[in-house]
Amino acid sequence: MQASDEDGLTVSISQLKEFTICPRRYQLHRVLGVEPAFVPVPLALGSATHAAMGAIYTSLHDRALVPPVDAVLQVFRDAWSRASDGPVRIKLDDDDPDPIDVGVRMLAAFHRHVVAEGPVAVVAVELPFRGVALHDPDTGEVLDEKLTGVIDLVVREDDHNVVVEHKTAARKWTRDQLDQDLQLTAYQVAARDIGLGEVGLRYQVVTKAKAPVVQAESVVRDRLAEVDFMRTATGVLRAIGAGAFWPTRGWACGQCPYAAACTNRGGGSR
Amino acid sequence: MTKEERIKLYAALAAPFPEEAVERTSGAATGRGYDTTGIKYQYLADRLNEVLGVGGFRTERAITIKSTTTAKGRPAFEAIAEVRVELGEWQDGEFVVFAEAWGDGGHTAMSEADARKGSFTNAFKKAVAFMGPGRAAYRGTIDDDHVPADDVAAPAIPPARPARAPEVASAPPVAMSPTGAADPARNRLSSKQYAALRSLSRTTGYDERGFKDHVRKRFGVEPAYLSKGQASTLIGELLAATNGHGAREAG
Repeated sequence: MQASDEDGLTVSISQLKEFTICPRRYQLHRVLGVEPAFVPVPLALGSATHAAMGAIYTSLHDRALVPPVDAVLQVFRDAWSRASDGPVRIKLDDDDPDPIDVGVRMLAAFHRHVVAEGPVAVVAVELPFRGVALHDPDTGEVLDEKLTGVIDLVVREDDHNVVVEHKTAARKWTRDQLDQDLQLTAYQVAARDIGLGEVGLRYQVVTKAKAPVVQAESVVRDRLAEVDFMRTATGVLRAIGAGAFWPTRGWACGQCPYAAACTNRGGGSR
Repeated sequence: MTKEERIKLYAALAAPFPEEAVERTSGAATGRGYDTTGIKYQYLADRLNEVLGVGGFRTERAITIKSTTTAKGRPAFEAIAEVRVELGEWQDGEFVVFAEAWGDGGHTAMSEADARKGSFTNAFKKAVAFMGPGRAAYRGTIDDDHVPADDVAAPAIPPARPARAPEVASAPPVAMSPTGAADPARNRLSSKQYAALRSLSRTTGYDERGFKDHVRKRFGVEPAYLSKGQASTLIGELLAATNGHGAREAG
C-alpha cells in the first residue's frame, strides 16, 4: 500500500496549453471527465502522422535505416484505422479533403525530407519524462504538480543532444509561433532534469497543403523564456487549484468537441 | 515478519488521517505563545487497533509529578511521562514484541489527574509517531493535507496600502530559489493526498478505471481534481475499508 512520488499530481504541456486556450474546456475535459462529442480531424491526423514519423526514427535508431515509404504509410493507415474504430467518432465535414490522402501526402514529403537529410544519430524516440519540478519564478514556491510528458525525438549532433518536436499544421509556422511556443521551453527544462544536458531545440513542422513542405527550424530558449514558462505554469496551476474555469468565447468554439457540454453542464462540486 | 511486510505495515500505520482527526490549538488561547497542529489521541489509538487488531499493541509508562505554580501564581502539577509503545501479539500469555518506540511528554494542570493524563497522551503521540501514525504532526506537514474549511472560505484581505504608493520601477524577472511555500487560495487536493488515494485504491482492489468511475459518481469530478476536504473524506473511507488488511498481511 505504499504511495510513491509517481502517484502524485502531474501536469503536461498539452494540459497547460488546453487551459490557456479555454479554461472551461479544460474543466469539462480534465476535471469533469466529459466525453468529447467527436475527435477533431486535426487531432486524429496529428496522432496518426506522429506514429508514422516515430516509426521512421525508431527504424533509424534500431537499424540505422530509413524504412521504405510504404512501411511508413502503413503505420499511418493502421493508426488512422484505430482512431476511426475508437469509441468517439472522428468529425469529418463533407467539404474536408480526405484525411487519409492528406496524411499520405504529408508523410511522403516527410520521408523525402528524412532521406535527403542523410544519416542521423537517434538517441531516443518518444522519450517519456516525469517528476520534473515546477516553481513560481517570482516567489520560489515549489508547485505541488510535477511536469510530465513525452519528447518526440532526441538526436545527437556534434557534442550535444537536440530535442525535436514534430508538428502538423495547415501552413508553415510563423517566427512568432516558433519563438513563443511553450513546448520546447518545457522540454529544455525537462531535458536538463533527465540528464540530457543543455540541449538544442528544433521544430519539424509538416504542412497539410496539397504540396506539403517540411519546415525544420532550430530555436533558442534562454533563461527568461524558462522563467516565462514557469510563470505560465504557475498561473495555470494556481487557477486550477482555486477552481477558476472561465469560458473563452471565440472562433474555436465552433470546432470544440465540448461545445454542447459547455452550455449544458454545471461546474462540478468543488 | 519480512522486510516487505514491515514496509506494508508502516504504510498502513502512516496513512493520512481525515480532517476531523486533526486538532489545532491557538497559542493565544492556550497561553503557550505558539500554535500547534496534531492528531487527536483517540484517532492514533484507533489507528493502532484498526491496523494491528485489538491486543496488537501495549504501552508502559513512568510518570513523575512535581508541584509548581502557574504564571498567575496558582498551585499546579507538572507531570513528565516516559512512555514505551510496543507492537506485537499475545502468544501463550506472553506479549511478543516486534517493534517498540519511546516518547517523552509533559503537561501542567491544576489537578494531578489532568497533568498525568496530559503528559501520557503527549508522550504516547510522540512514541507512536516513530512508527508512522501522526508523523505528519512532527514533520509539520499536516496542513499540506488538511486545511480547515474556515481557512479556505476566508476572503483574502488585501494588504494595507499607503495613501500614496511609491512608484517602483518594474524589475526584470528573476528566478527565485525554489521553496516550499503554500498557495492559500488552493482548494484542490494535494499531491500527497492524491498519491495516498491512488495507493489506497489499489489496496482496496480498484483498478484505475474503476476508481475513477467511483470518484466521478460520488463527487462528480476526476480523482486528481477533488477538493482537499473530499480527498480527506475519501482517504478516511478507503482506510476504513482496508482496516485489518495490513495487519493480516503483516502476520
